[in-house]
Amino acid sequence: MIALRAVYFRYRRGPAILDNFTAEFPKGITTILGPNGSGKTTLLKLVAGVLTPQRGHVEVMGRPPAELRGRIAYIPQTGGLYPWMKIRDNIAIPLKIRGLQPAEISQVVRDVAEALGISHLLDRYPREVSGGEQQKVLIARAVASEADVWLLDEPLSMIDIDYRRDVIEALRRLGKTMLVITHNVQDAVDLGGHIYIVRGPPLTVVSSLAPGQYSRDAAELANAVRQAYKP
Amino acid sequence: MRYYLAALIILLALWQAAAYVVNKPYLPPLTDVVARALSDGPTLAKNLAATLARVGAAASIALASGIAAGLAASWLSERVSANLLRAAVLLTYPIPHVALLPILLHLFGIEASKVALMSLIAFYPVALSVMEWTQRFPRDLAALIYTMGGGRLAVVRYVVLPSALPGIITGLKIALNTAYSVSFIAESLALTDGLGALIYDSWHRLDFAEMYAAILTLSAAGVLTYAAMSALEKKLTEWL
Repeated sequence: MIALRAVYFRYRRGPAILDNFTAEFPKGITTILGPNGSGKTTLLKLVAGVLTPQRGHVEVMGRPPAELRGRIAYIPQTGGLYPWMKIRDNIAIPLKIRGLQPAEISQVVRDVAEALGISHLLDRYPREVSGGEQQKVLIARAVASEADVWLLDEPLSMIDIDYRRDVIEALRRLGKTMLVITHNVQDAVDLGGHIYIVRGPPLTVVSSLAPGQYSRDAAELANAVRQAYKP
Repeated sequence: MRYYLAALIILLALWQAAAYVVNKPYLPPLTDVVARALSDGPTLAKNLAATLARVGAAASIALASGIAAGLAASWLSERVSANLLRAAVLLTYPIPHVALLPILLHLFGIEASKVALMSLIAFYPVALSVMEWTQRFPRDLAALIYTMGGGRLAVVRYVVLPSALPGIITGLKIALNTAYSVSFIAESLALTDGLGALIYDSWHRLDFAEMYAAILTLSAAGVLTYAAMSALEKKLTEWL
């Protein structure tokens, strides 16, 4: 579903973040667990097509990300909202880009906002809402976009504990292919998909666990995570 | 607001006092100037309308060409042509453009050369401002537009122009202010109409009360335009 083959990428300054990295992420939800600075966000940006590898290939549904624009929803950890647009317009951007009629756009925005419990935020600017609410807006925008593949960079990090389970359940119910970065082992387990434990740079997969595998052997999961986070 | 009003009252009171102290024809009391402005109302209004039309035309031309040049000299264009255009704008900016008036007269004739001179001088603050602001738009947010299926035009519409708006408005405020200042020079060249022409003409006739009435009218127009632009700026950049 999502494949990276012999990918090399480094920023203008600094070491290689991905060096001959090869991995395949299956359909459904895949969670990536790993320490800060290991290259997880870079991996997500490469799959989103925001960054282009210097060597190697990235494929999503068998095609390069550049050919799938509009079908991939990338939800960055921070700064994904346009500060000059009200929340309503932030959610509406992919719909406007797709050329939908204003009435249809308003309806979709209203429906999505209601589903995520953010209707009361629609006429505010991003700076007027909390970090957790901003994350919900980003998720709302991805829902509105009807993208096939979702790339989420720590989407739950600022969402209240009480609401976190609801968001996880909502993500699971969507049934989309998702690559989710998190630091929270419990969130990874609750999301219920494949779990990749990584470290780096350069990014390497320490362990990968299929659904069901880690629920049977929680000790193995905890041990792999500890290994990855060890300096 | 009350500080602006207080400052205005103090300045006008100082003028009135200075007129009595100096006691020369070239500095008539404010009360005489106001009385003259009231009696000369239709003349002032006719010339104000002519000046406003020129300032409006010049600011519109400066805004449109300044934004176009600013965008063309940014990342949107091919690197060599963008760099060449940027260098050309920066190179010609320090030229004293008023000195080009004779050339503009030959090129555009008497009436159009006034607007041409005002547009030319007002163009630079807008173009420089747009060039600078379009360089520092948030790249990450632009990249997101691409992932959502948008192209360069969508990036300009949703990211580059909105993020550059504070700079564009600042450039426009400077451009309008400059256009008002230059209107005096442009209109005093060929004394057809406009407050610049009226100021110049009354000065040469030593009709100082009319001269000051015209200066006050031009100043009031400049201040009110600036206030209107500031209100527009507040409205358009309320997200800041």
